[in-house]
Amino acid sequence: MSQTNYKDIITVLVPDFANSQKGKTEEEKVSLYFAIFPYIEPNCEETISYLKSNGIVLNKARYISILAKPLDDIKKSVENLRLVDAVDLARQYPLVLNKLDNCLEVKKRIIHCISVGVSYKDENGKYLPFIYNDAEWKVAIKNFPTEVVVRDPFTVIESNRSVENVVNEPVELNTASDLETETKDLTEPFEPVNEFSDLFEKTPDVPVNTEETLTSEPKQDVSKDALNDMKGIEDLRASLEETKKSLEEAKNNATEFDPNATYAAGIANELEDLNWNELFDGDINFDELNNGGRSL
Amino acid sequence: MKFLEKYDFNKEEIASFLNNTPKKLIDAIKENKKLVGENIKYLKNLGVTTYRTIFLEYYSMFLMDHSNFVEIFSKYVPEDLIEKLNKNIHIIENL
Repeated sequence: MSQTNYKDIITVLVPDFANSQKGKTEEEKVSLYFAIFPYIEPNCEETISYLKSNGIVLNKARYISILAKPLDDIKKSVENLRLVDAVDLARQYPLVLNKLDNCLEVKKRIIHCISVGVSYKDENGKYLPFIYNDAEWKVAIKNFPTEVVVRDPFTVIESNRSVENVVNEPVELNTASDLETETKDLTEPFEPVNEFSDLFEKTPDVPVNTEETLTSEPKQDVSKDALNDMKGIEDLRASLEETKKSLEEAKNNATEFDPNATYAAGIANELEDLNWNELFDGDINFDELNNGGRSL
Repeated sequence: MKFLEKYDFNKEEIASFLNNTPKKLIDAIKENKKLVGENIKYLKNLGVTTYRTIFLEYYSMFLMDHSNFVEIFSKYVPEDLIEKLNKNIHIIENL
């Protein structure tokens, strides 16, 4: 590249250079970096305009070193930052684009900070130096909390593995917005959608741990065999009352949705509605009760 | 980049430098390690204790011809310059 071309580059950059009130202007400081001009990419003007289109302005003489990086690599860096919604990091600190790994590590750091709930920006919205400074990152992660790795919306794995290991692991999430969505799913209350819930009206507070009662007691006490062993109406009434009572008790202790429990509640309601006279006129179908009750 | 170890750079600093510098400039520094080494040595012998940080931040300057490099610093009273550079490396841009 000829000396004339160097001047062209400076001419392109000069309008963006910040003017300093004290000391040298950025334009004057360029002389400190003349030595790297032979290593600047030939299509650096294209690079400058690509950066400008992303709001990244090379307004300091020392940022000229970025122009020694191929445009394709710079694009990869910008895209990696865009994936974690952090292009403004390059606007704040353009030298971050010089990173040889095209900002992959920066991307991992941001994702890691999000996953452990550590802020990586100050109150003015500026990125904290540990995001782009390797030495500061090593110090900062020592004070990070134990990470919480979100694997899927319903599973949270707490781990005491070292933070460095986590940082070096492949990150499954692609964007910050993906992570946000997954976290949001996790925090939303679980609303069960189950066909059982549609079978019964007004059964929101349903019992838990009634499976045993449901599968054993009614079958034993109200089965045909049991009926055959009964000596009279009073025995049958007592047995049904007992079943009804245990189901009611379980219903009152309910805290969570349980499809089996919902079924049990249905049985309890059914027993309540039984017409005792009808029962002993022989209309009840005990096979149905044995096989899980009548259709409700 | 082993030559940097001669000037007391530790492995972490060298790794950080390699990760934060465009490949073309790393190659340029390798090709001109004698010149770069001379410039680092000048700052170190001058008594600037922050010379390693200065190199990591302003490595491009160290590709400068040695006489031009020395000229930048020799314009100032050494004690005053050293004190200021040890306090804030960024004043190097205004020399």
